Amino acid sequence: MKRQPVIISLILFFFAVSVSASIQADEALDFVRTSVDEVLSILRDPAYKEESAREIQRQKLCILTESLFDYNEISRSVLGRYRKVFTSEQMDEFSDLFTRLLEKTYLNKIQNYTDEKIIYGKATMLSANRAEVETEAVTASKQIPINYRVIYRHGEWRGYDVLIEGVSLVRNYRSQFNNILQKKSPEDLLQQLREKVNSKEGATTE
Amino acid sequence: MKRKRTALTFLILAFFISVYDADCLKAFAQEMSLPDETGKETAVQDEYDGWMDDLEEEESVSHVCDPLEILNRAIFAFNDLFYFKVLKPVARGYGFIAPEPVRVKVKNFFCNIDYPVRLVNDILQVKFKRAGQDTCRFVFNSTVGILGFFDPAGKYSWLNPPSEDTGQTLATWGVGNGFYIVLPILGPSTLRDSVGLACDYFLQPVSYVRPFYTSMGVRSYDIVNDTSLSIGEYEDLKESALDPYFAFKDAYIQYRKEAVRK
Repeated sequence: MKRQPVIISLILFFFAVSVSASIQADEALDFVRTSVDEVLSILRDPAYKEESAREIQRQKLCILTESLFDYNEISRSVLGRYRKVFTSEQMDEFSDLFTRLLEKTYLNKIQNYTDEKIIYGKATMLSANRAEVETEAVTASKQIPINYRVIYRHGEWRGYDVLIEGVSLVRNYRSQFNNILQKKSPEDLLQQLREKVNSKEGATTE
Repeated sequence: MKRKRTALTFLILAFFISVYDADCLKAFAQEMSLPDETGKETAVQDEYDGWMDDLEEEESVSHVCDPLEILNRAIFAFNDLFYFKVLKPVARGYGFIAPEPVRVKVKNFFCNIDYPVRLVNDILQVKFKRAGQDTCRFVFNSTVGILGFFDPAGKYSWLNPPSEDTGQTLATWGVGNGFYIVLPILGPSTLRDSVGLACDYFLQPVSYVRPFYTSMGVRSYDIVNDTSLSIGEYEDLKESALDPYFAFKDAYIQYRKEAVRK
């Protein structure tokens, strides 16, 4: 008789935990859905149809994605174990350069968006405050699974990784940087990044 | 006699791969000695450290050795040249002549006709439900979808399980990746996946078209058609990477790992 309240409270506790987990998962899904919608609304905006407006569209996208993704987090994560070898100035420069590299590459790419449909899948909690949201981009010839990994911190959700067909962006860059940093110093890596980012700024889009 | 020898070779190869993979991991672990912490402690607290270290551990398991790196880089450079000088112009030209819906239907046809590969590997991995789904899809697309050109089964997600190939079957049986190798024209692969590709060859109906050069012609057409539908993907990954060779290696390994998992 005495154990019953304990059992009941345990059941309620687990119920509350699982419900809160699913509530969190739903929040994550909502966050991704709203964010993707915001990006799509900029991409679909007829005001930016002209070539001349492309740069303005890019600026707007930059500002938006900086609020949706945690670039600081991504930059540190991408260096992996080697982040401790960087001084704080080097770290700042790296973060800045890497953000620009990502923006140059990926924003350029999505600016070529032409009405592909996005289907939202489910959200799964990876830990207490991290979730993975599955989506799919449907084009004429294929369906591409794109998963977003988001983290809830300081009262807001932010993205920290994108997986395209199972390939994690962060992991891909991290293995590249690890490979380079095994043989070269942080300064060499920064130099390589500077060259890459600055050369792309000069190049016009094909 | 010949069959016994092939089976034996196959078994030895598989054994060799799984053993080699274990040695490879040890070598990798030794290589990965933590660098000296010369940088000052950053002011921002390392609250990330806990779960980031977990991520890194998870990654070291998926490392694949690259003893042939110099050769691989050379073949990678060759493939790059081949893509830009030969494959892409041909695919582009073909893309101008054939409208996209037509090319998509051709792709559907080739995908459909690879059914034996999927079926055999579903069975070998004891995924009988998938074998059933793949069979349903094949029958449906070949009849209602007119020889596979159309893909009416595509609307039903339960008729479209993830596709299996021999490389994935070997992985499910516990065979390790072995080492990384870049195949001419075919691109990134591993020892296990290359063996898988060789086995797949015998399961594909296209391989039995005679004369032999017609079979190769059909394969080339398939490749050109596929490329015409995905121009830009190779360039994007190459552009976004600091070290394209390594980026492709890592992306391939991650991609295959995910395919095996599904």
